[in-house]
Amino acid sequence: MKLSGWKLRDIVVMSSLSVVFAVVYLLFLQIGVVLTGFMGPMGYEVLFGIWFIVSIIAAYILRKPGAALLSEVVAGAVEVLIGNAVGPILILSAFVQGLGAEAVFAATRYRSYSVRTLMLAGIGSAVFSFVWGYFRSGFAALSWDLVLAMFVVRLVSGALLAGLLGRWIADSLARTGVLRSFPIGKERRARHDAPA
Amino acid sequence: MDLRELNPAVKGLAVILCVLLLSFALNPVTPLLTLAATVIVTWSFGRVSWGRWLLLFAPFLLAACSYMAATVLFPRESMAPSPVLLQLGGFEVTRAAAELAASLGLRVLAFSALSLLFILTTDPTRLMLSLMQQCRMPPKLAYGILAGYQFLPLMQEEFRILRTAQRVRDGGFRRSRNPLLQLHRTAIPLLAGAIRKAERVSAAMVSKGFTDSPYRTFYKRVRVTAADWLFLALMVGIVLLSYLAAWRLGYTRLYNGEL
Amino acid sequence: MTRRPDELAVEVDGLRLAFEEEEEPVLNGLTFEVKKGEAVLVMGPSGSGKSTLAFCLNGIYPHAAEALLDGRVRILGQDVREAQPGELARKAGVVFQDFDSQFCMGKVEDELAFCLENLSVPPEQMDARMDKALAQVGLQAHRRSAIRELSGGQKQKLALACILAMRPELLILDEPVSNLDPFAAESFRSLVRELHARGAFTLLVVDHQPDGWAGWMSRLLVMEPGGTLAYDGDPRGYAELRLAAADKEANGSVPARQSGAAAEIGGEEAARVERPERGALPDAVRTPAPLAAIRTSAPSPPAAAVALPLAAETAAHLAARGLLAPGRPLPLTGEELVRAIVPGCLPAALEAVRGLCAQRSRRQPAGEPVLRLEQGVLRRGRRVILDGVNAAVRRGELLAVAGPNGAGKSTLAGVLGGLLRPDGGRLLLEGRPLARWSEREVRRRIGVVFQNPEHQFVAESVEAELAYSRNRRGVPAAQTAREVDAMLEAFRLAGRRAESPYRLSQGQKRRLSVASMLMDEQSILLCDEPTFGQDRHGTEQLMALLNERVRQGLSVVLITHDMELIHRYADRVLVLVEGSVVFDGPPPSLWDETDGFLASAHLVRPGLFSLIRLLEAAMRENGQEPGGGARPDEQLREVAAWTCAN
Repeated sequence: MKLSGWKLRDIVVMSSLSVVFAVVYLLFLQIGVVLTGFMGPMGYEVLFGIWFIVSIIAAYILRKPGAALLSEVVAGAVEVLIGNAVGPILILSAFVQGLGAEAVFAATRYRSYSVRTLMLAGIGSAVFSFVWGYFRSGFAALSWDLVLAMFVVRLVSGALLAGLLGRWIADSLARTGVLRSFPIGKERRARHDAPA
Repeated sequence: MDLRELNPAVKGLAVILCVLLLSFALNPVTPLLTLAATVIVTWSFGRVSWGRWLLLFAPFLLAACSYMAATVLFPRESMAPSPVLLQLGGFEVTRAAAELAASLGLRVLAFSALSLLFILTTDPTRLMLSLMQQCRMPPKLAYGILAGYQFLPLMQEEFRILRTAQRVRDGGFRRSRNPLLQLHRTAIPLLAGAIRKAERVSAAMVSKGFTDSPYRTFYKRVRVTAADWLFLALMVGIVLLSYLAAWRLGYTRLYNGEL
Repeated sequence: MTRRPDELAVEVDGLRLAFEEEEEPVLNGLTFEVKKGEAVLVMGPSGSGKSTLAFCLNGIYPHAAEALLDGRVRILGQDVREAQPGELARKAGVVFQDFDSQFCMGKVEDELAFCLENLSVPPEQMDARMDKALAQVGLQAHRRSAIRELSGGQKQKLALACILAMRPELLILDEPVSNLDPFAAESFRSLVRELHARGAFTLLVVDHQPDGWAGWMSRLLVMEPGGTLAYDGDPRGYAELRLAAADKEANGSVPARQSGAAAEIGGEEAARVERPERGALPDAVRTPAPLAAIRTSAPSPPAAAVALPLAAETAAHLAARGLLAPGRPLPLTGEELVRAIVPGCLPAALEAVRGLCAQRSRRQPAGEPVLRLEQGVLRRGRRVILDGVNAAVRRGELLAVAGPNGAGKSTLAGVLGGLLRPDGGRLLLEGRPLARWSEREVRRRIGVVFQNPEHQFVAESVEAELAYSRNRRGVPAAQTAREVDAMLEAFRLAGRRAESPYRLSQGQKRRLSVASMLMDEQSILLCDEPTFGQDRHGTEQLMALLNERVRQGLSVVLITHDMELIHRYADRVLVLVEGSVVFDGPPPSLWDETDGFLASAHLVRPGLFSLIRLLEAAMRENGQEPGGGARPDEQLREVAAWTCAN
C-alpha cells in the first residue's frame, strides 16, 4: 500500500468524513425503505448514488490517490459496525463502489476535479456497483427490461446524487472556512486571488 | 473455542471465503443449511445475546422478503417453463421462479448471518491491530482510521442534538421535505465539526510521538493460533457440506448460466 | 548573561511564523529562553498566537500545518526544522484544550500503550510505566475503562498521564482547564503543581487567566495581538507594573506602595510593556456595581491586557485603604494576601473585601412564573435522570442552573424547552399545560440556545439566518428586513450580515445563535452553557446583551459552571445533583453553604468569596469572631425577601 503522499492528518480527516457519512446514511436508509415500499427495487436505485457521495467528497477535498476508495471502504466498515447495514459484505460492496470512482480519478492522473470529472466518478461507482450487484444480489433473475431500466437510473443517480450533490456539499463546507489548509481550500483561494 | 478470542484477520478471511463460495449457490438448500449452521456456531461460541442478534437480523429478513417478492413477480422470460404454483391477480408464480426466489432470499440471509458472526464478536481495535500485525497495514493508516472511528459515538450524539436544534429552528413548521436539502443541512455542521476535531486529534497523535515509521513495538500481540485455522476449516467445511447435502437431495444445479 | 546550551530547555530566537505567504504572521519576532526545570506561564489575549507558540515548541509546526517559519527554535538542543514530525514530541509533550479530540484509541490502557509504542518501548516494560503514570494522576482505577466514559477532568488527567508515561523533559499545557468546570480545573492545577514539584521536567502553561498558576510559577510571558512579546519576567513584577500604571492613570502619581521587586525589572522591562490598562479587572472591582449591571455594550479587549491574579487586584484595593503591611511583596494568592494584611486590620480588610462583593441590586422575582415544572421525572431506561424536580421561571429573571456533569442539567433544559417529554409531573407554560399548546406557539415563546452554535445554523448568511423563522411564519418581507436590521444592530453583527455564519468568530457565532432565538420575540430563553468555548471578552458581551433583555422582561435560564457569572448576573440559582434540586435561592446564600455541600455539588465559590472565607478563617485563628453583621444589608434583605416569597 502506498501512502507516501498522505499525512496522518489527511487519513484522520478522511476517516472522520467516512464516520459522519456512515451516521448520516441512517437518514437515507429510512428514506430508501419508504421509496422501495412505493416503487419496488427501482425506489432503491433512485437513491443509490448517495452511497458513493463520501468518495466524491473525500477525493474532492483531499485530492490524493486512494481517497475515493479508502473513504468508501471505511464508511462501509463503520456502517457495518453501527449495525444498520448488510454486514461485512457491504465492505466488499463499498470497495467495489470506491474502486469505480477511484478509476475515474486515476484516469485523470489525479489532476482534474472539475464538475465533469466528479460526475463521471459518480457514474464510475454506479457502473462498478451495478456489475457487482448483478452477480451478488441476483439481478440475474429479474427481467431484462427492468435490469436495464435500473442500470440507467443508477447511472443518473450516481452522476447527480454523488457527483453534483457531493460537490455542492464540499463547496459549502469550503465556504465555512474549515478547509483552508486542504487542497480544495488552497485552490479556492488561488481562484479567488486570480484576476477576473 | 471462543469467537471473540480468534484472530480477527483470519476470522474475516473465513467469512469472506464462505461468502464467495455461497455466491455460486442457486438452490435454496445450500444457503439454508449454511444459515442454520452459522447461527448455531454464533450462538454456541460467540457469547452473543439472542435479543441483540435478532434485532440486528430482522432488517435483513425484511430485505430478503423484498428480494424474493421482486424475483417472483418479475421473473425473466427466458426461464425454462415450469409448473404454476400460484395465481396472484395478473401474476403467475411458477415453481422455478419460487425456487430461485427462495435461494436468493436465503442467500442474503446466510450472508447476513455470517456478517453478524463477525461484527458481534470482533473488537475494532483488535481488528486494526491484527491488520497491522498480520496483513502489514501501515500504522499510519490503521491508527488514522481508529482515530476517526473514536468520533463515532460523539457524531451520533451530535447528530441527535443537531436534529433537535433544527427542530427548534423550524419553529413547529414542517421541515423541508426535500431529502437533499436535509442532507445538506445535516452534513455541513457535522462535517465542519468533524474536520476540526480530526485536525486536532492528528496534532495530538503527533505530539504523542507518533511518526510515519512502519516499525513499532506492540503492547498487545494478536497472534494466529491453531484455533484460528480450525475455525476457518470449520466454516468452509460447513459450506462445502451444505453443497454436498443439496446435491444428495437432488438440487444439483450450481450455476446455469443465468446472466 | 550567557548560559550553557545544555542548561536550556527552549531557545527561541527571532521566531516568526505565518500560515500563508501574504498573510500577517501569527508570531512575530519572539525571542526568549527557558531554563531546564523552570515553570513558565504564557498569557495573552485571543489571537496573540499563544497556542501557535505551544505547537512550535513541540515540533508540530512547521511540519503539520505547512507553516512558514523564520528564526530559530531549539528544543532541548534540537532544531525543530531538522527534526522529523513526531520526533521532538518524544521529549516535549502537550496536553491540549479540547478533551474530546486528544485520543485515538477507545480504552485508557490502549491510549497509553499507543504512546509507549510510539517510543518503541519494549512491551514487557509497558505495564509498569502505564501503572506509574496512571497512579501519578490518580486514575489507577480506570486503566481498563473506556475513555468516553471518563469526565472532562478525568480525560485531561489521562492526557497528562499519556505524556508522563513518555517521560518528557518538557511538558506543555495548552489551555488545559479552559473547558473544565471550576472544580475539575482546580483539581487539575494542583495536580500539575504537585507533579512539577516532584518531577524533573520543564513546564510551560498557556492559559488566559493566572489564578491557580501565577502563585507558584517562576516566570510569566505575556503575548500581545500580532504575536509579539509584551512581558518576560517574574509574575509578581508584571502585576506590580500593571497596578502601578493603573494607579498612575487614576491619581497622576506613582504610589509609595510599589515595592522593590517592580522597580528592579522596572527599567528595561517597563519599556516593553505597552501602556497596561485596567481592562482585565473584574467588573466588581473596576466599576461601581450598578454601572456594571446596566451597561449594555461590553468593553472591547484592550491591547496587551491580560487578567491579573484576583489576590493582586484585591491587594491593590486594600493597600489604597492602608490595610496592607508596607514593604511586603505583592500577594498573588489568597494565602499570601491574608499574610500581607497589617496585623489587627483583619476585620477592616474583611469589611473592605465584602464591600467589593456588594452586588448590583438583584431583581426581585416578580409575579407568577411563566414556566413551571412540577415534580418533573425523566427516565432513560432504568436510570432516573430527573427525580421529582420543581423549577419555576419568573418573568424578567435570570435563573442559573448549576451542578456536576451528568446531574441532569441539560435534560432539565430539554424538558423546560418542551423538547423532551417528562415521564412524570407536569410542565405549565403561562399557567397552561404544555400539551395544550401547539408546537408553533411553544416555539414562539421559548427559545433554546444549544451549546454548539453551529448546530442551530440553517442558512447561508447571517441575515438569512435571522430572517429564517420570520419567513417561515409568513411575516411580510419588508417587516422582516426591518426586524433583521434591528437585531443585527443590537447584537453587533451588522458588519457581517452577508457572511457565512460559520466564518464568524466564536463570540459572533454565539451572539447570532442567541439573536436567531429572539427573532420571534420569545419571552423565555433557555441557554445550555452558552459561554462554553468563549473567551472572557465574548462571555462579557453575551452576558451584557442578555442582561439588558432580562431587564426588559425576558426570562433566561442559564446552564453554567461559571460561578463568577452566576454571582454577577443570576437572580436565582438552582443546583441539581443526581437529578434532584438540592438548592434553590439567590447566589449569596449559595456561597454561604458549607464547603462540604459545595464540594458535593462540584461548585467553587467565586474568587472574592473564597478570599472572604480565608479572611474569616484567619480571624478565627486570631480568636476574633468574623460575624455576619458586616454583610451588606442589601443581601440580607434579599434573602429575607426570597424566604418570604417561598
